[in-house]
Amino acid sequence: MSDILELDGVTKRFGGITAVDGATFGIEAGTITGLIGPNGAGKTTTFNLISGFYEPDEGTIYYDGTDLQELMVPSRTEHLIWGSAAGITGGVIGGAAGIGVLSLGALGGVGTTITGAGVGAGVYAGQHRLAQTRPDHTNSRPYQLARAGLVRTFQITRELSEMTARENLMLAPLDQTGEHLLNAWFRRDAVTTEEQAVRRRADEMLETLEIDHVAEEPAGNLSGGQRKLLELGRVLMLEPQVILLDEPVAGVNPTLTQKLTDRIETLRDEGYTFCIVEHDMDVIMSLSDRIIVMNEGQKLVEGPPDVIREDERVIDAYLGVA
Amino acid sequence: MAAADILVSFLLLVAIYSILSFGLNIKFGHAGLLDFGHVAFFLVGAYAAALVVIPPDTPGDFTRYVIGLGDVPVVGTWLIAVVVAAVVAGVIGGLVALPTIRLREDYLAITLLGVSVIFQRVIQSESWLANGPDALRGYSPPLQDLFPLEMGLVSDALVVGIVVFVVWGVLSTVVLIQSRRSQGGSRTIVARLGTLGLDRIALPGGRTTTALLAAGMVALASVGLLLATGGLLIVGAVVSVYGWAVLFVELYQRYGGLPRRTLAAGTALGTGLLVALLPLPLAGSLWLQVVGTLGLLAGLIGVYYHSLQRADWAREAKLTLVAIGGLWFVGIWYFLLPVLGPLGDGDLGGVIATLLANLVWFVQFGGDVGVSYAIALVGDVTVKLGYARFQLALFVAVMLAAYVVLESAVNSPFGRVLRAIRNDEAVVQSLGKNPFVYKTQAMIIGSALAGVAGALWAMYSQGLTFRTGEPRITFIALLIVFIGGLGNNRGMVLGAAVFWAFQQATSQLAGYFPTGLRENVLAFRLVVIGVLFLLILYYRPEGLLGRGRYEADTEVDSS
Repeated sequence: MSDILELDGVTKRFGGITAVDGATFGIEAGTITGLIGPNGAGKTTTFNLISGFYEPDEGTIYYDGTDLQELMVPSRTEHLIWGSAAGITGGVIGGAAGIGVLSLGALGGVGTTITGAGVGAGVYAGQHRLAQTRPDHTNSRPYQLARAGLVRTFQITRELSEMTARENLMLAPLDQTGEHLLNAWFRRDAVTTEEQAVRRRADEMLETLEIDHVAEEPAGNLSGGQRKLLELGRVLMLEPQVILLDEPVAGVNPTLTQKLTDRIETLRDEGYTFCIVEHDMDVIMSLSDRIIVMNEGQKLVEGPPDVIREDERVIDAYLGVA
Repeated sequence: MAAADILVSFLLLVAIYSILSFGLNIKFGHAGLLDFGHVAFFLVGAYAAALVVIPPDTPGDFTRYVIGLGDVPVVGTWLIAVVVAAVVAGVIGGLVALPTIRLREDYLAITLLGVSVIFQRVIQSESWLANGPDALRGYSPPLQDLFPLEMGLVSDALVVGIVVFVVWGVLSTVVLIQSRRSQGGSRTIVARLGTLGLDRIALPGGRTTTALLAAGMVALASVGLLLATGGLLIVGAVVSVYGWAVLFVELYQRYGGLPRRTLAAGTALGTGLLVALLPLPLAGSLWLQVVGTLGLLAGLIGVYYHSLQRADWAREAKLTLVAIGGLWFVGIWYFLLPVLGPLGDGDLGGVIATLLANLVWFVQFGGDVGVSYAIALVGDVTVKLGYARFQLALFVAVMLAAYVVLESAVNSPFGRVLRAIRNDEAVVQSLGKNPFVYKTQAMIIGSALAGVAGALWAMYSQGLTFRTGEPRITFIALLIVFIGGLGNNRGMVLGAAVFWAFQQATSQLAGYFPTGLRENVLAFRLVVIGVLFLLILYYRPEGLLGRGRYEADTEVDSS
C-alpha cells in the first residue's frame, strides 16, 4: 500500500460538538490530494489532527506506517533537561538531608548528595519508562512530526511578523549547527559557513517564489498573498515528504495563483506529497489528483476530480448547482 | 566632589543594572518570556557570591549563616564567587522554568513574581541560612586591602595596569567602532594615536582585537613606567587626555554636522532646564521653590512640545534636541558651576583643584585644598587611584564580557529561534523545533546574568539584606529594557544610564529641600519613574534605540 498518511476511524470532539467523526481515508504518496467540504465539515480540525496539534479522541493516524502518537515522543534534549532537573532536585534534597537531618558532616553530605541525584534521575527515567508502557499514554510533541517530514501551513498565515522575510525562511531548516548555544559560542566558523549556505538557499527560495524584492522587509509588512508564498517557502525549506496546505491560494491574485499551482505541481513531480484544503473550486479541481469530500466530520466521497464534480451528494452538500 | 568621582559612582550602578537588564532582555526581549520575578536570581546570585567569599561563621556571635568559604584558598575568591553566582542562579532559573514555562505570558509573569517573593521571604525568615532578617556583612570587595596603592610595588602597579587596560580598551573600541563608517579627519587621528597605529593593520578579529591589543600595550607600558618612576600622574594624565579626545571627537562626529538651529534649540532646552531649577536654591520659601520650579518646568515642557507640534525639523530631531540639552546641562552643572562657585568666593585654589580633578579624571588628588595646588604639579602632590575606579574597571570588564557573550548568542541561529518563539510559538513547533528547550535555555542564561549582576551588587554594597530582592528591582530592570529598546543589548546600557542619571539628579535636587521633606521628595521619585514608564510606552514603545536589528555574519560575499 502506498498510502503515506492513513486515518482510521479518527474522531475529535470539542465539548458537545463532534468536529471529526470517525474519518477514515488515506493519502497516497507523491500525489496532490484535495480536501474539500462545506464550512464546519472538519477539514481544519483534520489538519490539526494530522499535524499533531490536536490529539484524536478515538482512532489512529498512521504516517508512513507508524502511529503518530509514537512519533511524537519527547526529544533526547528534553529528556536530558527533565532528567538533570530531577537529578539536581534529588541531589539538593539528599545533601540537605545528609548534612542537616542526619548530621553526616561534609564527606557524608557529598555522599548523600550524589545518592540523592542518582535517585532523582533514576526516578525520572523509571517514571518515563512506565508511562510509555501505559496504553492510555499520549505524547504531544508536534515538532517531532515536522522532523519526520510531515509539515503544515496555517489557514490564517502565521508569518513571524517582526522578522524579515529572509529570516522567516532561514529559521526553517532542521538541525542547524548554530541552534545549539554551545556551537553558537565556540564553533563560530562552522556556524558562519552554514549560515551562509542557509542564506543562499533562502535567497533562492525567495527568488523562485518571486518575493525576493521583499527579502529585507519585516514579514508583517507583506501583503496577504506574499505571506502565503512565504509560508509555503518556509515549509519547503524543511525539505519535507508530506506538505499539508491550508487554503494556500485564499487571497492570492490569479496570476500568482497560477504560479503557485504550477510550483506545487512541479514539486509533486519531484516526489513531494501534498494535501490541500481549498475553497477555490477551479484551483482544487485542476490541481488535485484525487479529492476527498468531507461533510459533518466524515468522509462523504473520494475520487478523481471529474467524478467528484458530477457526484450528486457532493453537489447537494457543497458545490450547489454546478 | 569632582564630576569624575560622581561619574564613577554613577557608572558602577549603570554597569550592574546593565547586566541585570541583559538578563531580562534575553528572557523578555528575545524569547518573549515576561519574567516579573527576575530579581529572584539577582538575590540568589548576590547571596551565593557573598557566602563564597565570607569567612566561616564563628559560633557565639550575633550573626549566623549556613556556610562561608572565604578562608578556603582559591575557592574563596571573588572570581569563583561570580562564577558560582552565575551557575547557581542559572540552575535555579532552569528549575523554576520547568514547571512554569508552559504558561502564557501574563500568567508566567504573575507566577514568577510569586516565586521571587518566596525567595525573598526565605532569605528574610530562615535565620540559619544567611543571617535573615538582618544584614549579611563581614566580607570585603576584591583586592581592597591593596588600597591605597603605593607605586613601586609590583602588585599595585599591576592593579593600575588593569584599570588602564580596561579604560584604554573601551575608549579605543568606541573610537574605532564608527571609523569604518566615516573616514573623518579628527577621529582618524585620535584612533591612530590611541591604537598606536595598529588600526592600519588588518588584524584577525577586527576592531575589538585592535583595541584590546593597543590597550594591552599601553597597560604594559604604564606598569613599566610606574615601577620605574612611580609616576602615577603621568599615566593618569595620558589616559585622561585620551579620554577627553575620544569624547570630543565622538561629540563632534555626532552633533557637529547638525544644522545650527538644532544645536541652538538643544542648547536653549538645556539652559531652560537650568533656569527652571533656579528657584530651588534662590527662592525664600518652600512654596516658592516648589511652585516656581514646577511652573518653569511645565513651561519648558510646554514650549518643547509646542515646537514639536509646529515645526517639522524639531519633530524629526526631538530626541537629538533632548540629548544636546542634556549634554549642555551636564556640562554647566558639573563643570562650569563647580568652578564658578569658588571663583565667586575668590578661592583660586579651589578652582584649580576642581579643574585639575576634572581634567585628570583618571586619578584623584588628595591633601590640602589651597593655592598650594597650583604649584603642586612641580612640588609634591598626593595622587592616588581610588578603589572605586578599580572596581568600576572590573564591573565594566564583566559587563562587556556579558555583552559579547550575549550578542554572539542572539546573533546566531539560536537567537533566531528565540525571536521566532516570541513571535509565534506554534510556527516554531510546526518547523520541527522544540520551543520548550529554547525557552528553558533563555531562562537559564537570563537568570545566570542576573546572578552575575547580583554578585557585583554584593561586591558593591558590601552588605546584603532580604530587601536586595525587592520586586521593585525587577521593575527597574523592566523599565530599563523599555527605555533602551526591547531586544537591543546596547539599549540596555543606555537605559540603565538614563535611569540612574535621573535617580542621581533627583536625589541631588532633594538636597535643596528642608530635611523633613527630603524623604518625601525621594519617595516621590518612584511616582515620577512610573510616569516616565508610561510616557516611554506611549510615545516610544520601541525604546530609545529601537528594536535590536539582527544581521548576523551571514552576508554572502557578492564577489
